[in-house]
Amino acid sequence: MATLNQLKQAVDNLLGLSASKRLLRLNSNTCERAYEAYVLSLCAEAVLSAGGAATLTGINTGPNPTTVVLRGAPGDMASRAQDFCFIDCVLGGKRFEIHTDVVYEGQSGANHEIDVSICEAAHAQDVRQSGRAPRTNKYLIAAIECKFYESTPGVSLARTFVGLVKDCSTNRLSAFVSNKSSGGLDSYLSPTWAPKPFTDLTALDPQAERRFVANVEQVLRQWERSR
Amino acid sequence: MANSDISGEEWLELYRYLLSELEKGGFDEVRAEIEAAASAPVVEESTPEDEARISKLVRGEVGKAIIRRRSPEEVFAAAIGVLRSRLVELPILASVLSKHLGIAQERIEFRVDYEQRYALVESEPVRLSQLIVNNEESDSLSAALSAFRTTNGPGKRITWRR
Repeated sequence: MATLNQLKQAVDNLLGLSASKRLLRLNSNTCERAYEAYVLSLCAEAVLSAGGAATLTGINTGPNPTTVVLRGAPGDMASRAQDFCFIDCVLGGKRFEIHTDVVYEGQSGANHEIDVSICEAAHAQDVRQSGRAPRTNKYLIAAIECKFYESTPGVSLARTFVGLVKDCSTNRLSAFVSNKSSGGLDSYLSPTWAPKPFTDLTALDPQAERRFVANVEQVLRQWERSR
Repeated sequence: MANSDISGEEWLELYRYLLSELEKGGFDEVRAEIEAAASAPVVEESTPEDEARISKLVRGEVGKAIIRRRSPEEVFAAAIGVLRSRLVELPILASVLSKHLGIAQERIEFRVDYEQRYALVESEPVRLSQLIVNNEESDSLSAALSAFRTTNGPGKRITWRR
């Protein structure tokens, strides 16, 4: 039987570890960005499993940059302030790109940060040339909201994302992705009008990863066959 | 918590001890996250028996959710849940991300979209390797967290099923 003093000692042991000190000092933004990057990497897996090609590309340096710079905060798709990376993809005869943390202009004209987005390459090139924001129009193939929860999730973020999705033209995939679920969150995302939920997507669960990858792969295959 | 029989008051004392140690260590953001998690109410679905009992009590329709405060033990379990996410789940996620991209962790970093000289201190470039633990560190973290292993709730043991 553990006593109070033994458990206090266990707290001391845990917080005294050098790894704990390093990880507990990270700000929550970093944890969020890491989760978004993880989802980005799964989208790249989906492209490869669909038989496509995915190349990490720096906006300034081009394919396969020495350092892969991912966004530490939401920003402009056209920004060259850093060598921000996106994934340049080809599937069949079609080209598209996967981005993290880019600000899009909605149908209403309001701006929205989309955590992981897949958009047609031609649109992304127009954006880079013009320096204007990308739009949540027919060129946006997928909008994915990502959340790394450290405690039981509520529904507020999903509610916000539902509003964002309403400001997009009909895209092929709107998904809400998180590492944890709760009864409330699952219920809120269960109607057919809601974004597709992946509320158990974690590196601790390869089965959940496969389910997500298979869904993205199916969306990309359907998009590739269209038009 | 499994293997312990400490009282509700003692769980709260342990919880407050954890918060004070986090404050001493300067881990203010994690402390705030823990306080938010611990103070969130528990939402439970009612059982069919509850539903039958309630239907006899009220004439109109009421919700099925039961919202209650956390017990002291659940408060501490919620706190440990936050620490597990940060200390176990995050490093694994970061490591897997590097593998999926096929890029060494040292070559991946997060940067903000504006001039570094205008950036907040906490927005400085962060290398992915800062989020990853080596095997020895992983073992130490698992061993330290196993002292708080619970039979249920957010503090339950997380195992890597890869």
